[in-house]
Amino acid sequence: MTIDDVARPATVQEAVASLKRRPDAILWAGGTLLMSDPSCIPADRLVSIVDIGRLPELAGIHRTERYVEVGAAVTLASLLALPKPALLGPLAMAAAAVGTASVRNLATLGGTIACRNRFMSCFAALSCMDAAVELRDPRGVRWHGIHKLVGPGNRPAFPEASMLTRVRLPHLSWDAVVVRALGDPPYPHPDASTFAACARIEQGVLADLRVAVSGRILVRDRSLEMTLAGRRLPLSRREIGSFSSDMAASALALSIPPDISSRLEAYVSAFLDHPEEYAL
Amino acid sequence: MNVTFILNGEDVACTAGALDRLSELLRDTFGMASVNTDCGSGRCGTCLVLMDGRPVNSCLVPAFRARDCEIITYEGFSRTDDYGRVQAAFDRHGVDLCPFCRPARYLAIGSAMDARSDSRGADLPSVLSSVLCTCSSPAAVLAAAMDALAGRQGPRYSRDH
Repeated sequence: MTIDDVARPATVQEAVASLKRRPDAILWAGGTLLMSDPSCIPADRLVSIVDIGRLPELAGIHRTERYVEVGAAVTLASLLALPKPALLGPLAMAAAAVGTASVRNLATLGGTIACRNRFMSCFAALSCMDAAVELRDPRGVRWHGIHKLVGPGNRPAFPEASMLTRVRLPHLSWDAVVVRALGDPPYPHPDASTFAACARIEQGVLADLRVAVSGRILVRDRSLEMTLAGRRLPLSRREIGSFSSDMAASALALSIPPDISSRLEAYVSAFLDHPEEYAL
Repeated sequence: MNVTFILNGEDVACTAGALDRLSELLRDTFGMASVNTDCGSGRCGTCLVLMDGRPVNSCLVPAFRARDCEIITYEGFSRTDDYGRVQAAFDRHGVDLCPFCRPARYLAIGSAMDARSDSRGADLPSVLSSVLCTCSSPAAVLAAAMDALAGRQGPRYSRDH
């Protein structure tokens, strides 16, 4: 690969202007993925880099009553260093499982979302949280639900020439949360996948349930989740079996390998069987 | 491209490719022999350096990212008082780290001693696990590290110095 230019904008506006000049430029925040997987950088053309890792506008964390808003260049270590990381529920758990502490000092939240060829492990957590993302391009600023980044065939569809600037995480208190690697091959194995699930329980009733898998594709079935919402705990064997096998069937239909799908079935089943064991 | 940064307290400059790894730059251009360039993917942790006070895998840092940063390697850390405290703690606990992991582990503990760090106390095991080596018992390393940390309170650089 040949790098012909490294732009170092001082503001987000300057970064967007750089992107307007070079829509194919690589936005570089933490760069842990780009440095560890050379295939992420095109080898057949000149590459321009826009260094956005030190933009103050992308480094803030703001909390309101309804949500936490995190700049795209906030490192995973900074997220975990928040006074109450448990408020971030599944995201805190997913972030803590990324690499080592020294890698998390470099890796950014934006980097876990903006990967072009796969959904990284935090994406499953963000999907469960129904996070929203702020995207900027030369045409303006737009907020989208995170599922806007999921394209046909449930594959990644991060828009070209766009810059992720902020991530909005709704404040929801979860009673049970789990994030696990699915299967043995860790990233960068192409089949590496992450399972995330969270549940809210009110007076012995499953008030809200969310289950997602991220990897080469994203698996999330909101209508299936709704079938268990409002059910009294503990769930029956039949309810658990039906839900987990339907979830595994969805994953299989979306080309997740059979061994990973069957492991997903077991994980979902274990979570639904004893959600109290996954209390935060 | 020209890259200027502070290395172990001294201003340095060099010419490097934008995506050259900081680990290779430190080892090949500046002779920092403690920085290993083994895995190149942030797994082994033996390229650990302190970048603006935080432990990072220098194999994951491109040259352009090092511009205007403060980098401390084991060579620089070994000239500080904290190094003596870490070494004394390991001696007290009878833990003899191998030359492969010692620089990175000492630096990881050194970062936890830094007032700017998020890794004081409870997160120390997590920081120590950034370095992959089985030469010593993790429990013994942690005990020595906690001992080193307990022996030091307050910021590394006070206004009196």
